Amino acid sequence: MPKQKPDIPQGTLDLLVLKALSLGPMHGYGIGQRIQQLAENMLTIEEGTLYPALYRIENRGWIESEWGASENNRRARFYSLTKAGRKQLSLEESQWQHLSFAIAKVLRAT
Amino acid sequence: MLRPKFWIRRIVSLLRPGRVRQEIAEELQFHIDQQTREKMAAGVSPEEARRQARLSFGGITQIEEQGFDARGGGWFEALYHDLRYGIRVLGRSPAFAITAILTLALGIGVNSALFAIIKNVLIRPLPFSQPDRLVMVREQSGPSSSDAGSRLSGPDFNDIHDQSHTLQSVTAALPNFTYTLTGEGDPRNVKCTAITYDFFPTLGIRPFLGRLYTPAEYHVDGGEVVISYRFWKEQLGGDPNVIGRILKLQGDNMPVIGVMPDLPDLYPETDVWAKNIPELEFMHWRQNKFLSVIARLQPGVTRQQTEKELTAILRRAPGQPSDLRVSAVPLKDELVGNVKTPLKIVMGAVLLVLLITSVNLLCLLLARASDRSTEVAMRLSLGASTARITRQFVTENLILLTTGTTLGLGFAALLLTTVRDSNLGNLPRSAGLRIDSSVLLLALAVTLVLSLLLALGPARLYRRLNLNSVIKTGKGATARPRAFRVLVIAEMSCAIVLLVGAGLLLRSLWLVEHVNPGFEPEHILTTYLRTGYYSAEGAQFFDELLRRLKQAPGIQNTSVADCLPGSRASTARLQFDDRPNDPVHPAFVDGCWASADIFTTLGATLEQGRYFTPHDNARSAPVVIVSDSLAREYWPGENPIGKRIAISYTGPGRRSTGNPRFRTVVGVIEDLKLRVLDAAPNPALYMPFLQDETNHVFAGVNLFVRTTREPVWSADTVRREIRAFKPDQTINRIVDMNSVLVAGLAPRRFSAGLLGSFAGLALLLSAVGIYGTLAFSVAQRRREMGIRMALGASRPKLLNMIVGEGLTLAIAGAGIGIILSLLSMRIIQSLLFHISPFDPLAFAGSALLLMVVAASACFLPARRAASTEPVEVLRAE
Repeated sequence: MPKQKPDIPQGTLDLLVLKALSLGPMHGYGIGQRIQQLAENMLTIEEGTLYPALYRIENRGWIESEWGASENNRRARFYSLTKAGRKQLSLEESQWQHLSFAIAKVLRAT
Repeated sequence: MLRPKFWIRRIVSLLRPGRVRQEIAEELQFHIDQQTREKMAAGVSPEEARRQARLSFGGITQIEEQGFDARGGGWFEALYHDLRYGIRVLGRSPAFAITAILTLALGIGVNSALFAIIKNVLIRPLPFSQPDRLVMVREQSGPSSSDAGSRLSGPDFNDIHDQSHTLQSVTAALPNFTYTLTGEGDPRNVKCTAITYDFFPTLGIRPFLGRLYTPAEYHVDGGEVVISYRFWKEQLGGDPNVIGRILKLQGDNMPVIGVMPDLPDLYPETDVWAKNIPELEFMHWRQNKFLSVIARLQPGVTRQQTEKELTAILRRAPGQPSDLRVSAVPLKDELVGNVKTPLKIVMGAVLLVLLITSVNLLCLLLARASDRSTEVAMRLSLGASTARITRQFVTENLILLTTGTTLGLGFAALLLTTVRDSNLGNLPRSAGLRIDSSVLLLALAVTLVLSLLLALGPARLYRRLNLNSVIKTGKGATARPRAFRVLVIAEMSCAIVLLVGAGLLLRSLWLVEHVNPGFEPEHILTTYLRTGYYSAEGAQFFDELLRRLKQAPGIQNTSVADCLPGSRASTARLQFDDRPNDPVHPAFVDGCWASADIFTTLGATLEQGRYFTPHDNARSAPVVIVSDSLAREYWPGENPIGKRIAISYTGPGRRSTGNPRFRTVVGVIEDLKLRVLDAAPNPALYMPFLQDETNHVFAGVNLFVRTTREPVWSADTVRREIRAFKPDQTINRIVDMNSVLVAGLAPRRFSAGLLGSFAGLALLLSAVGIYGTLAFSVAQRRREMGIRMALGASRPKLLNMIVGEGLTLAIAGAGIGIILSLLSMRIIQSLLFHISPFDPLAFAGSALLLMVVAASACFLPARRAASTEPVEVLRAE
């Protein structure tokens, strides 16, 4: 495990949130946890950026939220992907892959 | 964007901001709790775990705020804060806020009210079917364009009716006569308009209840009767079983067969729609022209084609003047004709007022914006976004504009109610005046344009704002003084145009009011007596009535006549025995049947010959008294006494008398203004009413009573005497003669009063404008004043300097205004009386008034400048 965790580039947090939610509805805390697990702890999600991102994405209509019960039976706000969100996810996914492929190519050049 | 949940959330956050905040807080708390649990599970002590969880979260409040903004609460809160801040800021300078709001309210108020009036009176189409094809047919001959003789006779109507191909239908009305109604409380007079049977079908109007007359019913007088909606509602209490109800009119029992709908546009005073029966004798006399003929054009026919055709038809008839011409006036123009010009002029005045209003507001806001540029710079440098500051200014303007517009609409509603209910200015078609959607729309549009204009000035100013220099020197951007000067000069010149216009109209009004009517209207009471006597019986009735009245206390003299000086007279046609009579160009003059004492009662001066005496009756030789101008026109340089003329007297109901008798002129009386005060009197003649061989005059005359005291005190005496003599006699309102004269001047008063108040308003507003500009300029130049004083300028010299500065503006404004007035005053020429549109007194007076007002408005700021303490100012630098 590398000592220094990289910062998440601007704009990619939205993509990560959408991806995390594509596995099923989850509350804010769980979303952070899920991303960290999927990244095998190579990424840390700052709480200070996660919630504003959630509100922003919700405003754009890609996710929606409702109150539900958490695993330990507490009231928690659960977010889930909307139809528009699913579309946005696949769009951003392909864009990201395209971009990272291109960047990788550039970096591989010697 | 159709995302219901998004908008529901926004609305919830608007209505329940607390709940949204609480939800966000709860969500974040859940997050912290979860994290704490996890850390505790990893073996950290509870307190430490909680502390670490909180620490890793960072600024909870910030996240909460961001969440609140994102969930839609933010913009509402910002608006709320803007509003509160705006109201507080405006409250700190109440003088500014009140001036701005009142200026706006006045500008928008008069503008909306006038627009409502113009729309309702001039623009609104007549509520009849295809109203643009309806015309009023008028007939004229000779060079004069006077109103007399513009109506048509029964035979004229029949010719048009039978021969015209350009008219789809043609109908004749005879408005303004009265019937006596008895058996419903006090006997009273009802107003009638007689119509031919196709009158309502021509207009496309059906009865509200019941039916119209059938053509067959048009051959008998009396019988059935059709009443107006107003009469049904107001006099018969809206009786649902009115059809078949018997009304006792002129002593006959008449069953009601129909109620017409409310017709506020056409003969609105009508109580009874009577029959205009073609068989009656007076309808068969070619020269008895009194019918109002309304026609509907065939589709595709122009008014010019109709005029040509009808002129040809009427010229063919025997005895018609060869220069006779027919005009077809659009019915709406006919109904509103005499108020069209005044209303347009008033509208022009209102637009000028609106212009001044906007200029003034712009001045006020510019001055204020300059004042506040330090504050704006401070807020900008503290990190406020430009958008946020712009929003703040827009919000403040909106507060001013909405308050001003709301007040203005209230003011407009008040004005409209006054005009409608007090019948100010005798406006036709004013019954439906109110603020409707189009007036609201106009007010809104004006507000919008104003708000754009008002935002523009300060925005331009702030674009030049240099943050650095403002903060360093504490001096903000200031509007260029030139902008103010241009605005104030524009304002002043508009005010001058209004002042000159108002001055001309007010002077005309004054001249008309002080015109000599030819008699002494003080101490005269008058009322209309409708008797129903069509025979010599009437002579006894009036003989006894006048004798009784003369003996009553407080009454000096009394008489009757069929004319009403200052209001109306009939038309008489002259024939001479000392010269050939041209049948094509007959001599028409004003005529009046009167009782013996008419001239002494009215207070008119006999110039030659004698008055009538009680001996001038049906058995004695026929006589006539002519007016001075008649004598001069027909017997110039000769003695008119003893000359002989024959008089054919025309009018509704008048019968032809075959060959009229020749009458001997026994007296010459000075000219009386029989019809209107504001025109030269027509030549006129007076005949003893006992010598009316048709006895027609007895049926309805005006009673004149000269009292020895205040006339209103004698009204009851007159009423009591008439009632005591003949209990079932109807008595109209008894009024004093002056109010008859004044009533004729109502439209003149209306336009002069309105223009006068607008001019006053404009003057006030420009005073505010010049005051504001100078006050602002003085405040900006405190330093300069201080230095001037330190260098030895005296206080009076500074005072003079500032007042002079203001007066320079006023003189420039007055100069431009006078040029504009010279160019534009011709349009009000038709409303002027005895003065030219370039009346030097009105021009000089307006300019002087403006100077005085401007100088006094300059005085306060000048004194403030002169009281500058040089030490204070220089130390503050």
